[in-house]
Amino acid sequence: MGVILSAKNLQKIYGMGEVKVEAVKDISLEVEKGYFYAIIGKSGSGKSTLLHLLSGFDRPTKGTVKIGGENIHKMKDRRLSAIRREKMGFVFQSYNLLPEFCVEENIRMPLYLNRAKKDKGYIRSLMEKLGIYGLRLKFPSQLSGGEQQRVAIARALAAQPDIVFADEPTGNLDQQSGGDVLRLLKMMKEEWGQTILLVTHDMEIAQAADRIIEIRDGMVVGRGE
Amino acid sequence: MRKLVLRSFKGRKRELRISIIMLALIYMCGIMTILFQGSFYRSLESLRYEIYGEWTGAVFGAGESTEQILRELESTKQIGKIVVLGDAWLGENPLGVMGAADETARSLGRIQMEEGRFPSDSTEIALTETALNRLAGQAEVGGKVEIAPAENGEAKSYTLSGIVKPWGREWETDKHKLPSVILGMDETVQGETYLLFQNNNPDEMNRIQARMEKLEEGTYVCNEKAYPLDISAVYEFFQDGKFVFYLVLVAAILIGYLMMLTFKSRRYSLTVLRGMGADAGEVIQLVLWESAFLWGMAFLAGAVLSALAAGAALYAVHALVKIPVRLEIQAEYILEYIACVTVIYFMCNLAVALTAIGSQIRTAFKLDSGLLERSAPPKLKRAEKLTFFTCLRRKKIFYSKIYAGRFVISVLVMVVSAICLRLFIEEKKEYEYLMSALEYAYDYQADVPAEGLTDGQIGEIEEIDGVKSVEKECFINSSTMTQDIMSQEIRISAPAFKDSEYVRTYRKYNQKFLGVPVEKEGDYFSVWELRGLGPQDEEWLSYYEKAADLGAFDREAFLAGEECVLLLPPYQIRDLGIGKAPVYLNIEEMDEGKKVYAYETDGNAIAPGDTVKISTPWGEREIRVGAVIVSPETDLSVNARVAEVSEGFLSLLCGVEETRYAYVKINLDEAMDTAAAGAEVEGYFEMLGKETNLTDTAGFIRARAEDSLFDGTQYLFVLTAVWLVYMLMMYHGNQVFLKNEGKRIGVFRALGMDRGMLKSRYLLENLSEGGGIILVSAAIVTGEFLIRLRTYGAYDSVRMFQRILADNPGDVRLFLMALLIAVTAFLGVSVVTLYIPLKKLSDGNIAGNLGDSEGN
Repeated sequence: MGVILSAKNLQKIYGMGEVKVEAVKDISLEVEKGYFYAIIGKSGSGKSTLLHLLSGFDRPTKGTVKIGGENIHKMKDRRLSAIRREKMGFVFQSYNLLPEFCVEENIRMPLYLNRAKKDKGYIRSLMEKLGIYGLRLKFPSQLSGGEQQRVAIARALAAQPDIVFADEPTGNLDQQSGGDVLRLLKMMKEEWGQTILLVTHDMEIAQAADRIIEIRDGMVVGRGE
Repeated sequence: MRKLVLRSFKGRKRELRISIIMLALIYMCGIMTILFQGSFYRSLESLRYEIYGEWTGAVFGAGESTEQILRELESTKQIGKIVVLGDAWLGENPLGVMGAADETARSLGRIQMEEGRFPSDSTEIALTETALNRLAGQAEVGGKVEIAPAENGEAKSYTLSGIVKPWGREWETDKHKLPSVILGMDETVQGETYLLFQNNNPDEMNRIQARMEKLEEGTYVCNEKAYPLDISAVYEFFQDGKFVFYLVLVAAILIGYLMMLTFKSRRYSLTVLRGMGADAGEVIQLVLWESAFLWGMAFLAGAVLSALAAGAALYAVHALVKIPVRLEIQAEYILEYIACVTVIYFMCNLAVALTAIGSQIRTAFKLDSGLLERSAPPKLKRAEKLTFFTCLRRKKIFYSKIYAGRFVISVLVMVVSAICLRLFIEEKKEYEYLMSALEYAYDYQADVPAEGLTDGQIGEIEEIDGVKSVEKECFINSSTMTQDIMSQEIRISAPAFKDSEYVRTYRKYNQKFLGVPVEKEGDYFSVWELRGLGPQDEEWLSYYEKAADLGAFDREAFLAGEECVLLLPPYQIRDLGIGKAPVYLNIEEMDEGKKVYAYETDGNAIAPGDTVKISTPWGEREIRVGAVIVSPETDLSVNARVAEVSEGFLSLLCGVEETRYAYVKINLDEAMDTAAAGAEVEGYFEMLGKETNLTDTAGFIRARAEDSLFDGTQYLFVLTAVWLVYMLMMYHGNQVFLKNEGKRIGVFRALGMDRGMLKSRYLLENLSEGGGIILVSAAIVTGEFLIRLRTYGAYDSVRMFQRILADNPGDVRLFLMALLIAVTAFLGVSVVTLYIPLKKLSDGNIAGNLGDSEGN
């Protein structure tokens, strides 16, 4: 398996003048294709910031993040957006569904943005697998938290990305729904070969991953399988 | 508690900034409006008092009972007395009315000295400049003058103490003249008493009028010039502070809006505080402290800004429209407004605190921004294909209240501002035009034919030094010269007119136009004006010589009053905007779709040599028909005339011995002393006893210019106020909207939408909304303009409409310019409050957009 994403000497400092917070301190890592990674750490340890830097949501103060050999932070916005559309999927703790679109429209949104041909069969099987086909015409406000998160996962997978970033995807869910989401993420990896980079503070959830990266005070303090 | 509040402020800087700005602007707009309107109206009031006096009513020929009634009323503030002795004479020549005025009368009437001082007793005298001129240099201030109290009476010697400024002519009535030869008031001065009084209670004024009429002791008049009865709704609204109530109402709505937008987040934080153990008292205390801090800052900023803004607005009025305005602080209105707004603000905050206290504390309580109220989701049959327009439509359905609110408010603002702007520019241009066209002339218009001026009188006027020329017109007009509506028509009848459709239709529409009963059967034309031509009207006389279709125009017979000219050209019934009326056919303007009525010249038609009878409210007479014109007229406008007669015939018709000119215009020579010439002309008309129908054109034009100035200023003010409130709402509304939109931007960017695509989407979205607003506003404004255009000239056909547009290019330009300015201002506000912040949000990083915003 090859390296799909690599980060070198990542540093992120927030604030200006005298009040500075170093959220990420000199982190280097490589993400191999087809693995389920869990980045674990306590609240405020810098794990979400690391995820933001790896996905290009935020710019590092120092360091590089490479996808396919290219530093994403040196890329023009258009190129990075295209990479996001084609190669990345995102699952957020607060779902971030677009309230004015129904379930199916939310899921198809990445395809619309990517101007990709509509693959009805794939989207349908995706919805069926995630158990949300019956909800396809409902709006986010009509769904429970677990259902919304499943829609968010479906949306993340719609463009069949190489890598899925998940930021505390079970954080707002009960144990049952959280377990379901975790199973779905594992299924994604197994059935479609996606690389998953999951951020959590819960060791139990992290144990579902193939590899674990532990963060403390903005630094990697442990790696394991 | 104060420390806690201050600490909490540090974490909510943006929210607080918006709240303070909003509240400060609410104070600013209200106080500024009160300061501006108060100053503006008081200044105008002062101007009117300066010109027309400050008294509210006067009784000419008042007796003791009248004085007693006035003094009994508590609401009567002041009573002044003028005693009129009668005419003063200088040998055989009248000098003016002699009388005395006490100090109160002088103050209420704004009677001021031009030179010297008021006479102190009956041995001293002050004269108006007109009266002084009649002495022809025989007197100077401090010197002696010999004046007789009766024609050729024994002259008495008086000391000339000063020259008095002319009194407003508006005071006078036909029967009661105001003194221009003023004696000092003492007990020896006895004569007819005029009482001037000031009573600002409208109910009392009505009662006084009723009692005076019952008492029949004198002639009662109201000072309608200084206290106009037919004031415009706008004026009434602003003059006595009623608008403060509406200002408070608008402020209450804005405060409510402000509270509504932040209500859920505030309730959340207060409920959390309750969950942490704060009791109800502490929550209320916290809210009140917080409100007090915010209020303090907003009030200070608002007060300073309002003073600056009102000063700037008054200065702008002063500079732009050259009206002498001075700052007047109406403390009671300002305090009233401040108190009401402050109470409303604190009450709203208290309501939030009480709601939080009443809310159930739950562990699952979530921070809900509550910023945007979403509509219920639509029911879908299938998922729609995603396109830009689907996305836009769905968003608009979802946030329909926000969009509809923004749309309606923006359209309203655009319409009001485009119309106000156009009206302001129109009024400003009218003012400039009037002031540039200020002509030094006097107009005389007779009430009845017998009151017209004779050639001899006009000759005497022409002799006055400084009179350049005199224009005269001989005519009768039944609608202006009679008060009886049933006799407001002049009939031109002949048996030949009996069965003519031409005559019948003409009569029908003219009678409808005049408001007199329509007579279906008849042998007459109905008109309201008849003109008398004389040898001086050479243009018309030679025109009739050329234009006669039937018979020939015999100039001598016409001027001798033996023959008339009949004008019977084809006509169409046209809508004049104020009603339908026959309009003589003009080939260029004719409406091809409308019937043309042509006089039937065959059969029993009128012919030269026949006789027509002309009946007027003042007499009737027959006259032979000389020439008849039946072909379309284009050279000279002859609308609304059927017959033309000579001035001699008109005099005979009305039973007037000599030719009388109902309208005379006296042009003064601007190269000479127009004031002196004017005084002479006025003196001449005073001598004739016709001064009440004499209008000083310059004064009249100035009054009209002042009206334009006043209206223009109001339009400008309304325009400014509307835009201030609009900017306020747009700024605040869009700030809240943007807070929610930041998250949407974050999600779209996370899904791979690049910045360019995002910006172009927002541009398209804003353009589509702005375009809709502009289109709807433009349609409404255009509709209003088209209706208004009918006041310039009626159009009831495409050709006429095109002609009116072509004839009024300035108005069309003005309309387009006003619309363009309103559109530009709207785009400017939208770009600043919406598009630029959206662009800024799009340029921010995704993590920031997703993190800054609150949960769904």
